[in-house]
Amino acid sequence: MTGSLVWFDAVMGLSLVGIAAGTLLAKQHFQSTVMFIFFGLIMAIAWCRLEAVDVALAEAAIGSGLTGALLLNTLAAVRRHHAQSPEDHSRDRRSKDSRNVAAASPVATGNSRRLTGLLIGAFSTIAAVTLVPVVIPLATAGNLRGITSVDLLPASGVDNPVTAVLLNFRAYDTLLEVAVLLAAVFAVLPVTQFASGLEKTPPLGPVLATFIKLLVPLATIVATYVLWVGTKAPGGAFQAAAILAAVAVLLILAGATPPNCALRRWRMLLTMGPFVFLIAAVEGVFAGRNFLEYRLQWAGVTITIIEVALTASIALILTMLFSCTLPTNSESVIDSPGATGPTARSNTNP
Amino acid sequence: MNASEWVGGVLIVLGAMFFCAGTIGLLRFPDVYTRLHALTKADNMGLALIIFGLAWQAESWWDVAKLILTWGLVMLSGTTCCHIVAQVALRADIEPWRQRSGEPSAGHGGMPDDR
Repeated sequence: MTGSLVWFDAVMGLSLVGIAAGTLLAKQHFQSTVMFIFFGLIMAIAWCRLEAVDVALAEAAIGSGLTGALLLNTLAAVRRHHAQSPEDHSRDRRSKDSRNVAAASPVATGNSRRLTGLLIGAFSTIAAVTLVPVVIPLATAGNLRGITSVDLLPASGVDNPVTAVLLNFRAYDTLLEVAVLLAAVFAVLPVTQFASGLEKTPPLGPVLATFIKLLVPLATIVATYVLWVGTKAPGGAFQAAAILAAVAVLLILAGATPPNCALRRWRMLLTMGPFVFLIAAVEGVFAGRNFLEYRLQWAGVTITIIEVALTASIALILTMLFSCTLPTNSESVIDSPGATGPTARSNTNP
Repeated sequence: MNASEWVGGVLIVLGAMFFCAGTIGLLRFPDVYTRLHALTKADNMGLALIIFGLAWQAESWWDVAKLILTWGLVMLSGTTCCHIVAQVALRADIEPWRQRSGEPSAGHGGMPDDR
C-alpha cells in the first residue's frame, strides 16, 4: 500500500461511515434509498481496494444495483397505495402497515429515529474501536492456522480461491444461501398478482430502445464471460446472475412481460440451480464420501456445472423478486404463455 | 516525473475539475433540467479527460481499448439516464425554471441572485 493511497482509503472509509449514518438518519425514504445505492457503489470501490474483486462485483450488481431498483420500486408501490386510500385509517390493515413504513415523519418518529441512529452510530464506533486491536494482529500474522485456502487450491478443482471457498471448501454456506433466495421467491410469488397483468407504462421512446438494443447483447456476453472466468479469476455464478437479472430488469422496464412463474418451465428453472447443487452434494454421500465432497478429479467440472445451473436460477429468482414490486393492473388480460419472449432468452442464455 | 507522466496527470486533474464543476452545478442549479445539464455536460467531459489521461499512461493498447470501452459505456448510460429523467420530469409537468424579472430566485432552490 503506497503512502498516498492510505489517504484515499481513510477518506473512503470515513465517507462510508458517513453515508451509512446518512442512510439511517435521512428524513425521507427516497433519500435513504438513494444514499443506500451510493453506499453500495463506494463499498464496491472499497472491496476493490481490499483486492476482493469478486465481492466488489457482487456488491455493485446486487447490493447496489438490484437492491436499489427493488427499494425504489417498493417505495413507489407504497406511495401508490398511500395515494389510493388517503382517508382509510384503520379498516385496511395493509394500508395501515404501509403507512407506518412510509410515515411522513411526524415529530415523535423523527426524534425516535434520530435517537436510534445515534445509538447505532455510537455502537458501531465502539465496535470499530474494540475490533481494531483484534483485526490488526490478524492482518499482520496472516491466517490463524497457517494454512490458507490458497494452499489447498490444487485440491479444489478451480484456480480462483474465492470460487474454491464458495463452491468447495464452504459450499455448505452457498447451498444454504441459494436455499434462502429460493425460499424468499417462494414466499413472494403467491402474493403477487401477475395474473391481472402489469400496468401498461407508456413507451419511453427511441433513446431507451436503442440503449437497450446495444446493452442487452453486450451485458449478456459479459455475464457469460463472468460466469466462465469464475473458475480462474474474479467472477462466478452470483455475479453473472446479477448481470443477467439486470438485463431482465431493463427489458421489463422497457415493456417486456416478466416470466410467468405459474408455468412449469419457469418453475423448473427457478429450482434447477439448488437441485443440481443438492444432487452434487448427495452424490458424495452415496459414493462413500462426505456430503458436498466432490470426486477429486471431477471437482472442476462439477463446480462449473453447478455454477451454470445456479446462474440461471439465481438470475430468474432475482428477476422475479424485482418483478413482484412492479405496478399491476387489474383490468389487463391474463398473460399469455408465449408472451415471455425477450426475458426468456436472456435468462436461459448461459 | 517525466514529461509523459505530467501530460497524463494534467489531463486527469482537468477531468477532476470538470467533475467538481458538475457537482457544484448539481447542488446549486435551480431545477431538475438545469441540474441534469450541469451533471451530464461536466461528467462526460470530465470522464473523457480522465480516460485520456489514463490511456496516455497505459502500458498496452489492450488497456487503452478497455478504457475507451468504459468511456463509451458510461457516455451511453449517462446520456440515456439524462434523457429518461428529463422525459419523466416533463411528463410529471415539472415546469422548467425561468428567471422572472424583479423576483428573487432563492425560492427555487438557492440559486444566487446575481442580477
